[in-house]
Amino acid sequence: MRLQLKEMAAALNITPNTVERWIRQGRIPVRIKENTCIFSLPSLRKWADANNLTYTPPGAAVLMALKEKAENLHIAMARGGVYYDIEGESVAEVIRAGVNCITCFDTQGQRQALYDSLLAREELMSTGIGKGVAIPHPRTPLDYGEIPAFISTCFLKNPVDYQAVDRLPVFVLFLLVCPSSKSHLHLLARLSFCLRDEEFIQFLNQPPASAAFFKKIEELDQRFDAP
Amino acid sequence: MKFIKGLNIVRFPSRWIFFRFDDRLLLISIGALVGSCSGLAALALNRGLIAMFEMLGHYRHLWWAFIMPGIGAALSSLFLEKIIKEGAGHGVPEVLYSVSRYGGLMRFRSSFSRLISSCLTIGSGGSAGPEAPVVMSGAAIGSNIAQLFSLNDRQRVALVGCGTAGAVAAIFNAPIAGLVFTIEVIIGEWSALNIVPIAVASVFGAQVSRLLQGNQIAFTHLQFNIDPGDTIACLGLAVVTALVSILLTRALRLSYRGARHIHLPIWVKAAIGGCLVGGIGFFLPDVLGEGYHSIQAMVEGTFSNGLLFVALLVLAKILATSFTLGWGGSGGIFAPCLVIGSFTGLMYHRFIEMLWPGIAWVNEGCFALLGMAGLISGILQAPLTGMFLIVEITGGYEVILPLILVSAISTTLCHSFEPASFYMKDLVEKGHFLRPRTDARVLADLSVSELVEKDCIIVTKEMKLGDFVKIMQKSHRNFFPVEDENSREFLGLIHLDDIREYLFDPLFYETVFLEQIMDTQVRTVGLDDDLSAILDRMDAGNLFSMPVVANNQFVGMISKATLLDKYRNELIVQTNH
Repeated sequence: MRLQLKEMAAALNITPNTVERWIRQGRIPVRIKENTCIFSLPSLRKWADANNLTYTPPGAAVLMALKEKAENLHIAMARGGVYYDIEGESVAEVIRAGVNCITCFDTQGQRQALYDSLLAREELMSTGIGKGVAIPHPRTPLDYGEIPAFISTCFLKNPVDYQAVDRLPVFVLFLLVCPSSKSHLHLLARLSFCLRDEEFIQFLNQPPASAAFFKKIEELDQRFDAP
Repeated sequence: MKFIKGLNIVRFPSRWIFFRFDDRLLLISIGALVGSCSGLAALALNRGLIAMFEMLGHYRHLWWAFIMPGIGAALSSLFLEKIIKEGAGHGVPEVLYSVSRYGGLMRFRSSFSRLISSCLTIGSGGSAGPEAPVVMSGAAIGSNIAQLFSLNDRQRVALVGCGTAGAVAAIFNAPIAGLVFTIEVIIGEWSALNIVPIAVASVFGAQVSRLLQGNQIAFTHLQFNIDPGDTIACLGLAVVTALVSILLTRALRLSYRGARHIHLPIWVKAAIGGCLVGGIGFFLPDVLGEGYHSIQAMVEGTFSNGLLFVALLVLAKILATSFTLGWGGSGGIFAPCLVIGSFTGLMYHRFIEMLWPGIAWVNEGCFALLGMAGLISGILQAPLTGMFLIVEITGGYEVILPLILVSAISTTLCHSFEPASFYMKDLVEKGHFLRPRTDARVLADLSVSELVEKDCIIVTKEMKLGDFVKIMQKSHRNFFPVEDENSREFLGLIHLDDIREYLFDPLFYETVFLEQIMDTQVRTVGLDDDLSAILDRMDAGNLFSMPVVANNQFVGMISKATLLDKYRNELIVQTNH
């Protein structure tokens, strides 16, 4: 196989200078010809394993970077889904109804665990952030293995007293479930950016159709990413 | 075109499919070639010396014979200085330096320069040995063959080892001593990857020597019957050889320093040193040349002089060797060590015979032989080399028990007085002595450019704190270099820790410029700085990272955290084979 010196260095996550020196000193099973590294992939992988290094093919690194970047709000929201006319008179009831709508889970056990964790967080302090919006989320990140971060949007049938900071009744829940605190913060920051926009709150006041809703979110996503 | 392509196939054997899988076979085959070549070089010097001795032997008894070593040393010094343009020195430190610093890279002319110069010095009567010169030649042959085949540093070092092993094996007809000397003194790393090709080279070097001058043991001796009493007496001998070793080391160094203070052309100094040696040799001819004849006489037990005379010989030989090598002659320390060692052994034997005349001590040849081992081990601080060399050059395996004792004790005693051996002393003092698998080696291999982190966001001195806070949000680092907008000159550094408490006060945002809060007294490092020096500076200042600045421009940061990461990687890569 052949790689440019720079690609080779990136694949092993070391500097090109180090690669060059290791080749010169004969410490790595690679030879170099005018900036092109020539090597056999299996022996390089074996060498990397034995030397506490990882070989990531250049394509894979780009793909991973793309994937990481693509984790936008509208993707997480599409994964979570939009639900209308959620019934319930209290915080616990609407959360129970909301959790029951979520399609990402397979087992009842997972739903129950999420519900318990969400309620525990509400007992700590209400997640009603004002303007009629609440963002219920688990107290600690829940890792369901295969399930990536998602946000389920639940429009309530009747606004509920959520003990929100501004005492206004809540009419929409954004159920935020993330496998890690990093993704939690990442999505929360984007969501908070949207909710600061008065126009968006107005838009939510009349529950929009899901297509229009996602379009709006995508638009706001782009605005967030714009420098 | 086709011819060039064909030539390339020969020049790059490491690309042959056969060798691509594993370079061990390649190293073994080239090692055999290197061993044979360096064996031939060793024999050439040996023959040259014999010829010189025969030619000049007739004039030895004439009154003006004392100037012969002077002329020889002057010629050899002129040859090295003017024709070859290499400094004097006996060769082994040069090989060690090249292995330590340049992956065994050596010049082609080194492969013959020392042969000629030492032939002139020793052949004319200078007190020095032919071993170090052949070691250097062998190493240079190995290095140049490695370069011819475009091999990498690791392979080149192995071939340099092959060269030295072949040379030592050939000149002493001692393959194991060649191998052990190379690993213990030259390479300093006992790994199968090195040992195998070097062992093969030793075999080939010794084989060449046996083919061309017969399978002879250098110093034959009588049968020794060693009693426990003799073994105990050896403990005393070990102490004496250690003292003599230290004396020789100090005398050599004193003589080097003395010669450096005299401001004369180098060849004049060599001539003066040579004439002094000639003067000593006129009265005590045993000190002249490599001195193997006297060793032979002592080992056989036919050396008839008394205690005082032998003690005088020890001192005279030490003086002669210091004058020869210290004042610019060319040659090694190996043979003088053997001679002084056997004189010392003999002296000790005479001494204990005088103290306890009633006891039937073993033959004096045995003590001469043990003395040699003691001195070699003491001077080189290489006990294994001492043991194997003496066993092989005398064919005297029956002395192995006292031999091990003498070698071990002599090495230990010398080490406590002289922590670095004679070969390594200068290199250690200059920080050039880098053994594989050591901290110094890893730090020397890593360079600043490999460690520098370039993901710092550079800011300008005119920037307001408010703008800076926005930039800070995007950065992974706690350090922000400040540079001049136009000249891109590095002005100072902002460390988040220093300004954290002001960051959340909006009043500061519009009123404070970065120029006002940056640290301008920051200590920087350059791209070519030595890593161990940088670490010392970090430790001294209690710093965890420092900015790297080249040509007044900021390059990046170097931090202990990254260093640990890279250091560990380097250590694993260097030790994992």
